[in-house]
Amino acid sequence: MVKDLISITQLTKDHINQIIDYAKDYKNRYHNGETKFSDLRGKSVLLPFFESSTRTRTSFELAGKLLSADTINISGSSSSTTKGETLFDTIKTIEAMQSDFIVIRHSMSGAAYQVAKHVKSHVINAGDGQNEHPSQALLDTFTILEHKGSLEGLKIAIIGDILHSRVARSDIKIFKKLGAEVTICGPLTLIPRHVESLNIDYFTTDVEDAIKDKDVVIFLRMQLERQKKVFFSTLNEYSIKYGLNQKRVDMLKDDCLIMHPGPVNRGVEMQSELVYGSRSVILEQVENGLFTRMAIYKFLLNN
Amino acid sequence: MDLILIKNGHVIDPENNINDKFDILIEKGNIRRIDKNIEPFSGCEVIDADEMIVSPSFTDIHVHLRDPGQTYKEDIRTGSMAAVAGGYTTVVCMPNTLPALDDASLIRYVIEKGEEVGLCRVLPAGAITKGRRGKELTEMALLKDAGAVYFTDDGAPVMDSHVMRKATEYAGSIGSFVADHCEDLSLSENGVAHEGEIAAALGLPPLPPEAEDTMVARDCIIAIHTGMPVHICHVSTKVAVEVITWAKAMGAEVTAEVTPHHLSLSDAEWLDFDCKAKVSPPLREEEDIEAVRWALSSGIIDFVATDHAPHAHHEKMLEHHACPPGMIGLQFALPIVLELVKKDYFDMKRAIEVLSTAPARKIGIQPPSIVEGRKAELTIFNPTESWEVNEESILSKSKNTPLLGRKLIGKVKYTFYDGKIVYKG
Repeated sequence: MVKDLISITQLTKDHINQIIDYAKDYKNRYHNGETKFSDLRGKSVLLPFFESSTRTRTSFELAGKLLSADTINISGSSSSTTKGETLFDTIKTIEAMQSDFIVIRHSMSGAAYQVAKHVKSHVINAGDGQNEHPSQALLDTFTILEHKGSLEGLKIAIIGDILHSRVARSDIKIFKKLGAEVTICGPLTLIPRHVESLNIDYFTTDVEDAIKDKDVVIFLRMQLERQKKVFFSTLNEYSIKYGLNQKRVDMLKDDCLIMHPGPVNRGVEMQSELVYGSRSVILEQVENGLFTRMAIYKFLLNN
Repeated sequence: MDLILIKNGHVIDPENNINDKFDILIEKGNIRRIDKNIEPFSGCEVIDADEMIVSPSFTDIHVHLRDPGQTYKEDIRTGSMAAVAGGYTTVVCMPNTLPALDDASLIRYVIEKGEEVGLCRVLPAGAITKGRRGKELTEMALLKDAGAVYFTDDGAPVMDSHVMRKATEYAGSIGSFVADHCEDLSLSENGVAHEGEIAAALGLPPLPPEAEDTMVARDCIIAIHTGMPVHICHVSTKVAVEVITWAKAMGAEVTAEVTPHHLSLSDAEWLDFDCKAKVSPPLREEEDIEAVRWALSSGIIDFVATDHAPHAHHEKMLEHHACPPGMIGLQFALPIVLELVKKDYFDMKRAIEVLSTAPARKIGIQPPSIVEGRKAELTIFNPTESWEVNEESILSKSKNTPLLGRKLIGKVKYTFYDGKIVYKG
């Protein structure tokens, strides 16, 4: 029984395939003109987002609405504790409002895990601190599968701020689980000290080395405020040393996919004209995110 | 009861080189006779200590009793109850109270409150700096006259090296010493868990060991140059152990303590993301645990101190960054040290030394001792009895420990203080 989606770790290959199958099905039906589904009729989806987010929240909210659920956004800062209310209290309050699903984003690693332990509602982790972002990993996988058919033996590189990235932690877990080979790359100051604990295959600080012979390259968003904390020097240097430019695109395999969880800092992670370039599947990721999130609701409800 | 006979206990007193089976007769609180096979007689209460160990009571020079100001976490009465249940009869409480113990009147308050409770000796450590703000020295000499046994800003490090140097010199010159919570805040900022594999895998904000190691090195160097004593609180890393080894070899008067949790628990306690594992310094990894165990065995680390740090349930429910660090420890030190005896890190005599005589000597009190003529101040424990850590068995007001629900081996059966039985378990 899978009540919640907290971490990629909890999913078996069968679970992942099931979710991807649901996502494919929704996508096909949607493109064949079916724009409203009734799988979640009468269900409520509450979306407490303690960290700002546009795309993930909109995607989860729209996914719920397409499935006929009642969705309610709850915005809050992580500083609710300053009012003396713990995260636990906030969530118990939300549960008492009879939520069937709680989709939570929070700046604390483990927040969704902690919440799920205390409530009966299905809890979906929409990003917890620097720990995990499982729906992003599932939509990335869906997108890769659409192009490549399988992840078995694929070579995937993830480039950027690995240290602070929940996307990287979830992506690595799902890619490894499905048989891919994972390389990570970034300035050493943005790589966890015990990088081996991430179960990756290769690590390099040389981006051209990292992207060579890869089937998929994923560029992570650079958090601009990290500069103040001395994690890197300037965006200019970062973009020159780690960003994607035409020269580096020319070094890629012909069928290599370029991905980014968004939003892109144009001119930092990649040159502006490459964002929606021919090998970029960034907008497909966004679209697939919607169907993947619909699939996640259905999976948790049926499981 | 005027007469108490402790029969068949294995008496271990490192001070007097006793390590054998003896009977002990206590009359009106004084140890009257220590001998092989004293026959019980009428009117005499007999404690059967067969298979048990009788040792001088323990001293913990690092506890947080939260009084004044945070008595919802702990107070001097509940802290004393937990202490004697752990076999302790002397505890030194930290000055990070509200207000901080930076004034002679506050030092007197703690001592008098401890005497009023009367279960054990409660001695305060005074703050190094006013308000523990790290800027101006407290009136250390006056605090010492009032009864402060040493000086520390514990919970906060003395970040300013000039202040640390002057504090070391001044405390040393009045026959006392400073103890430092070694943590370079510029390195540890916002950290939650030890920067090891667990923090990397779980995305927990990391606390690098450098934060502790560099500060230990600074303090050791200050001890070398000033020629004055410095005590390093709660050592937790293998590099800090190496630095202390080096400083001692240089002839510095450096002493060090280690907590039961750093001797036994690792950062794996974070796997369920629960703040019960949050403590400062953080729970480290296996290599560090191994290093502090051997250092305690060899004497590089001088003794055990619990850093007993009670926090209320609702505080430990807060988010990682807001949750206060710390865990309770007074009742767990003995079983954790006994486990190290069982695993052959050191023998039972060393175990008693690190819990009892060594810390007592450090703060300049006469270590409790099992000799005829002295007031009974001893602990009788069963080294093989198992007990469960739970809400009932914990006598502290707060129950914050990762050990909740686990079984420990080694149980205090009696604690004597000032000739009286203050705990019976």
